[in-house]
Amino acid sequence: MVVEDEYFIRAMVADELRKSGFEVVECSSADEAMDVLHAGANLSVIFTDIRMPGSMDGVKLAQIVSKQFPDIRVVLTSSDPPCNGFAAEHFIAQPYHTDEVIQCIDALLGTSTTPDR
Amino acid sequence: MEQKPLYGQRGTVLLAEHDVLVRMPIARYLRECGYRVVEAITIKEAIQAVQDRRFNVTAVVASAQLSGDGFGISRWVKQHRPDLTMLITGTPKRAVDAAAELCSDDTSPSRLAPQLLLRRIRRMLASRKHPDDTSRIA
Repeated sequence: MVVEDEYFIRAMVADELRKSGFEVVECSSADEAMDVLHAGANLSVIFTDIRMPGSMDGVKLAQIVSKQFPDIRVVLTSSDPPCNGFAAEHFIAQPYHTDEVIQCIDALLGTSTTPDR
Repeated sequence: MEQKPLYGQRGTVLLAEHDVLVRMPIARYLRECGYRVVEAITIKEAIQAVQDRRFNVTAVVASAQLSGDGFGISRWVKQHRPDLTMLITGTPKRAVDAAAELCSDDTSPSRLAPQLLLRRIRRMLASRKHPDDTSRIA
């Protein structure tokens, strides 16, 4: 799942991930992401921006996911590192290249040689 | 046995739908059918996607309840990109009549079945000429 409020970033990252073989769900806010999670979507990784509009930011989303959906890995991204007490498992600083995201997710899932993910 | 089409082999569909729980399964189904699907949540995002040549959108499927005016994207497409195939979904009855003049073909009922949507996209794209690629529609 890609959670990002900036349209072109979200669309391009999601498109590149799909070209790499991942199935991607796009969300524009943490609230929307929670809707998908509570709908029972089968997710492996959430790649989320930190600063987003809505009732919660990416850090709060990561905290909830780590408690309620411990099998789902979370990768945070922002121009500034998370600093409000949450130790992110993985963090990618902006600006980033999509290859960094793919490599990070591959490393998390162990899927670097798998054609369909 | 029919071979699974490659991602994007059948063209690019812009799916403009504000409800992620509606957008997600429809987008997944269309991708499995070989379309590249670009998702948009608001009319602003939808127009950005159509204007960006990297996406090379060939058809637009928009919800009438899209954030920021569901028919706005249809009017914009009709005015600026009349070459695109346009389909409005999720229309309440009173909106169907208003939408009729904006659609390439016709409107679709609310909570559209993905299979029905696929047939409509294929039919509408097939009725349009693509001078550079006549094999776009299987």
